[in-house]
Amino acid sequence: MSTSTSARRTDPGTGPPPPAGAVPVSRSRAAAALCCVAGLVHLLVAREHVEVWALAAFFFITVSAGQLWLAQALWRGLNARLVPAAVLLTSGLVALYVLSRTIGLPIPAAGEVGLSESHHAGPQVPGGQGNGVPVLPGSGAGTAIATVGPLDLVCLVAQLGALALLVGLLPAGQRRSLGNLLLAVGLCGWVVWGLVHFT
Amino acid sequence: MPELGCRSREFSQVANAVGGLRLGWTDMLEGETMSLSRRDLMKLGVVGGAALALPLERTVSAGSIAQSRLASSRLPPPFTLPFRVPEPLRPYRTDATTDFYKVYMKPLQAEVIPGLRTPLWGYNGLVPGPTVRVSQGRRTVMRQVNNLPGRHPILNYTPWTSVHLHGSASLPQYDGYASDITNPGQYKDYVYPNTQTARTLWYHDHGLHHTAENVLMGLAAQYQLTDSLEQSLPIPHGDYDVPLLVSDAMFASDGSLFFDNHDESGMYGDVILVNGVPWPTMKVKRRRYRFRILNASVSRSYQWSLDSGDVLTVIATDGGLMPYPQKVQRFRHGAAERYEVIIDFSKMPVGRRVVLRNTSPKNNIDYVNTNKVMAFDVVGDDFDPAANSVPDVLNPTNPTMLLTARDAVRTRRLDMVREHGRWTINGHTWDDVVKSKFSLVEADPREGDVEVWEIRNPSGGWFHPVHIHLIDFRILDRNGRPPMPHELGPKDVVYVGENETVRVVARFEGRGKYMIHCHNLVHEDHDMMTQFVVRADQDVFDPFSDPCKSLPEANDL
Ligand SMILES: [Cu+2]
Repeated sequence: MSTSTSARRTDPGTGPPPPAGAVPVSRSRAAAALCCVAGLVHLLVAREHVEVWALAAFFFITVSAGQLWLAQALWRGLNARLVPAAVLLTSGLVALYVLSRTIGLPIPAAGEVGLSESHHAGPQVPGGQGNGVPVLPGSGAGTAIATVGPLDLVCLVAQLGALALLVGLLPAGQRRSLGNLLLAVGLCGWVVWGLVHFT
Repeated sequence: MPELGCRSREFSQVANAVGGLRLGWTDMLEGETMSLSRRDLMKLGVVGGAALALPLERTVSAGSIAQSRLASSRLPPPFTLPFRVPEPLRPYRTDATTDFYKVYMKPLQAEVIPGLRTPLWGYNGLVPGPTVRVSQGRRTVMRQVNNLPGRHPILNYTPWTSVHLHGSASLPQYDGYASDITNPGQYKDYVYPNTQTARTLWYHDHGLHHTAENVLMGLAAQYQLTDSLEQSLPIPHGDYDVPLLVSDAMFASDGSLFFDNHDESGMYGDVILVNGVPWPTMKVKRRRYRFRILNASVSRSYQWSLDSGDVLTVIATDGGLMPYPQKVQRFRHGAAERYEVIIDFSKMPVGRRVVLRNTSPKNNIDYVNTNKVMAFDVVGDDFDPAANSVPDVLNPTNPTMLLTARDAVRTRRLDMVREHGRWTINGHTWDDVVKSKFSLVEADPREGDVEVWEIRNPSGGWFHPVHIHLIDFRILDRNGRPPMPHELGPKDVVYVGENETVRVVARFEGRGKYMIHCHNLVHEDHDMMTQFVVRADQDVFDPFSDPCKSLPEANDL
């Protein structure tokens, strides 16, 4: 695929291409807005995690702070050297999210105290072996596998949107190699999905 | 390195960028072309799609095996399988005052659905468990050995147990306190006083977090306490005194139980089991029978009636004989309630089939044959004509049934509410009790106090069979109206239906902490359970004062 071909094409919705040397403000600001959404969602869920595991809440606050900082930096014009780091951070968060909703993370079930179905906070019961909570097929209840809620999906979509825009901000060479890496991860994900869905 | 600029564009352009689907931006940075090619978009689409699809699929969960429900065409047609009665449990040894029993909880494979093997757990490997029959005044010691596997084969939890003898005023340490658990490889000796009036009790699992699953797997059985009054009445005894444990289950295509708790609202099966048999048929002689009906379902409630239109004569409730028998056309029966019912087949012709039906109360999940329970086929065989009547008076002097609201020293309230997805009592759950180090109580009557408890269900979306441990109570009223005829006896579970407020009165005899919970076991597990304490100056036992021991068994029984 030649980037030059597409580079010559102009977007009919955006009028003539900006002059050479201009910066992709619209995309950078759109990415900023999406990062801001993700950061706010993470701030919101940090509150729920305090009761379960303070360290998880600390993690969410850190992520939220990082994303909000990234949002303002993107809005004002981010140093281009930081774009690859932002791409990796965002894709890492997406990966962590996918793991938490599929095989589970070795932490108490996220967001599961008082607000959603699996509310038994303690992983151990005194005198008992394990937490004693049945894992109903398909429900994921009782494990570290968290449930998918509307808030997560908003955050996930925002992060995926931001990721796409950030990848677009990368220089062509980096974009290609990072794009291939993401493609490989994505294909693996689809293989797993296929195995689960069809077997 | 130049910074990305901050020149603003029109909103439409931002929107295009957010969509990320438009091609051909030619923004430049360091002389390089900055745009998302079709190939880039394809790559991002692949990874983004996977990131969305995987969480939504959600079945990659460790230990979670997807089950497929058994087709209803594979179920036996109703009334094609023979009725059976659970086996009796014989004492291991007896002495002057006490009967000693040994019970081993263990896995079994049962052919519940003809042609399929269903892995179950049973007391002594039996589902339902063996029936205990004891006389008032003799003590029982029951060794319960947990020989269950370390993990549930499908649900992946460790099946610790806590055996509750429902209907017995046992000491707190022998009451099946949910957190007083016995792991696989451990055992506990339970002591039962048997000092109460004759009644139908049942022993079932009460282990923290998985009572519903353990009971559905088969850990439930009847325990019948007799006394001289009950024995002296000319009501049916012996072969004509028949236990009916009614439960429901759903099956997976491989024969195993199918587990679905409908977002923690309840488990409802498409198969109605009587003593573990789907819709059985019982041969009955032309006389009266007494049926000890126990609703051993996890969640389902029933409304019984006979397709012949004949009456059901209710003679006993949870706490034993009613003051007077009550003739009803139909009655409502929530989980864990027990009703003893006389059905008179004497006027029916030989060859007649009578069907016990279920016109399901609302907020159950019904399937094509959940409106049928079992059939009775009338046969002309000879029978013993003794004990074949229903006296007009049964037990008019039961102290519980003589209590009135005026005897109460105080009134308390229990609000059964679903809050933020959790089932709560007065806003509390068993988690709160655990977090309080078992000090949180909803009520603290002094020993001997009479109290009125007002139990409220403000929702129209579900019902709660509410069980108060230790005590027998009398139902005073429901939404200000008298209790239903079939409830005019001593009770320990009360059906608190949709938008109902039920007042009960009881004398608190006994000492220590006891549970209060919804007997929809899914509600109980998630986490509609709390406790009360009966205060006394001395001899107040702690529920944890006689913990389980590890196998091998000590030879002290
Ligand atoms: Cu309930």
